Amino acid sequence: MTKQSPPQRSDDDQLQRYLAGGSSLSHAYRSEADEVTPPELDRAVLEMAHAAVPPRGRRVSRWQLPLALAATLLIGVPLAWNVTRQAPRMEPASGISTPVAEAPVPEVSAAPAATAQRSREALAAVPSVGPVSGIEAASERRQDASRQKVDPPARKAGEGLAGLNDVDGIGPANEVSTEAEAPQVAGETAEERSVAEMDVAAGAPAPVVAMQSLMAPPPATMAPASKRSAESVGGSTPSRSWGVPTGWNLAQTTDGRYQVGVDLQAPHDGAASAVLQGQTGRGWVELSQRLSAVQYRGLRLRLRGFLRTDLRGGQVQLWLHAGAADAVRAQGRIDAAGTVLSGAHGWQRVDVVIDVPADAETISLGVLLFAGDGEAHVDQLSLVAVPPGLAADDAIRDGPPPLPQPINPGFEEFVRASR
Amino acid sequence: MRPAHTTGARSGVNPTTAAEADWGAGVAETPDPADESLMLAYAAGDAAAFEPLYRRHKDALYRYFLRHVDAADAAELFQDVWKNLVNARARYRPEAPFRAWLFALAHNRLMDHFRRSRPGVELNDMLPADASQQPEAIAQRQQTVGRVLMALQALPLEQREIIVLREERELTLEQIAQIQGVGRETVKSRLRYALAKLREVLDD
Repeated sequence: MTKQSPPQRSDDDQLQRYLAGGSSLSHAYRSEADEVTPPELDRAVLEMAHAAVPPRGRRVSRWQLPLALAATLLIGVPLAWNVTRQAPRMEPASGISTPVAEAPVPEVSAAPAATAQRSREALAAVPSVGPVSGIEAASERRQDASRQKVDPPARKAGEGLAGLNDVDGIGPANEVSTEAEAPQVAGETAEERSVAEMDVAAGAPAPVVAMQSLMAPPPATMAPASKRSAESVGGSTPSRSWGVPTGWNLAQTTDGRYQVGVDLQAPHDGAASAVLQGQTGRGWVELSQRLSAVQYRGLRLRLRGFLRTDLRGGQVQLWLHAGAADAVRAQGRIDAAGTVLSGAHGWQRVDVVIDVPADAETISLGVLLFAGDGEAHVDQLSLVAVPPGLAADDAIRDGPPPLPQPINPGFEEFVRASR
Repeated sequence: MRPAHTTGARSGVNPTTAAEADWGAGVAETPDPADESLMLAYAAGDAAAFEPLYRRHKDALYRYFLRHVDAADAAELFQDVWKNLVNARARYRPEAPFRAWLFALAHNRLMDHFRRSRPGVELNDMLPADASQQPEAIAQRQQTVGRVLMALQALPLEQREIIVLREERELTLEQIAQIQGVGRETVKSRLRYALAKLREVLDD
């Protein structure tokens, strides 16, 4: 076999001219290569593609709209009357300043407003609140219990956000760990924390949620205030900061108008949630992370997150993907899944489950807003191995040791940089 | 006339820096949805999003296979790629431009086809293209295809594929490197050899 001689320098020039486009070779190729697909091939592929997707939605008959309106009036008017009559009897001691939503949305209670208030307090207390490592792991059961508790009287709106604007005043987060403040921050009682600590100390199986929303933003990850964009509530309180949450990767198309950031108002739990916002109903934006798959191989893996949507158009998807080593073998394999939401909903728990192949190299996860007109929130992401015999939402108390978790799963650590 | 979509600017992905995150600085309003948006919509259950996506890329994909196998195999592989794409729609991530993903599926299917058709034979050893190098086949093809396409048939597969991906979809060297599973410099070197050989043939 003869060895090929190295190309001459003129070949480099030829290469550069070719890569610049418009070469005679390109013109000649494009004039000669004019084959198109036979129509029967088009039909076969289009039929296959349509058959693979189940029909969307359902037909609405003519009488359904008036019937729905009548039902709404029938239920809504007496309900509003009752609420009006009972309003003077309510005691103001609860400290809940935001009206509770009347819609029967699971996971939504008075807690988000109070939690947001606590979030401001958390930010105000940033210099003194550090990561509470002993209680990073706590069960969702305890979270739910804490959400149902009556919150302490709220401070004035915006009181705590000085911490957000006064970045220079934030000391190292791990200098002082003021455990006494933790219950206020996370809405978790000392009693509950001690249970969590006992669980951890005793080597108990890992609770489902990987990280509580107790972490103050470390100064190393905070951008200068001048580089961050913030929105206000009531004229003085920044409630949102736009930019990429720490640990997350941002990607977006050019055919849409999107922004991402952290919302301090009404997270599902903890101090913040991520928000993805779109204006035009075109294109997409995505926050994602990639982890090594070594410790997930062969497992049925569940990604759990909490999503809240306020979308006039488009959809938001929580997704999980096992990256294959052999792309050829993986072509027909289903090792990725996503759960899609649209419309307007309060916080909803969303699970995505995949079986991680033994040859997986990476685990990717993320939240994607596409064709978005409106906004979606995401909070409290966690990865858990689900025993094959159990459903995705079964308790994992006797499961294997905790798996590596996404960075900044509750979006409390903010922000790498933004405008 | 070549369809406009094959010669226009690359659609799609713009992984932005954080500083550009605020309302997508420099956003260009385009009349048609990007490939990635259509694929996402299809993956989310919008069956109607598939057809415009298919029509944008079908001819280029078909020609990609025609440059490597005969028409019957090209039709079969073409269908297989779209079937694989439909089955793997949940796996699609928009960070990768759709066209690069599509042709990665095509490359994988083509390699699979060659491995199955000649088990135990290294891909590089079965090149240049087999039957088309027979004198009768060459004479027959000279009557139906032009000089460039004939010259392409004489190139090793890995070099020919680079030319085809550049001409059909304007893929970058980086994207081709990912598809072929080699480094960018390797692709550059292969392209340099390919251009030199094509020049020799076409200058005759």
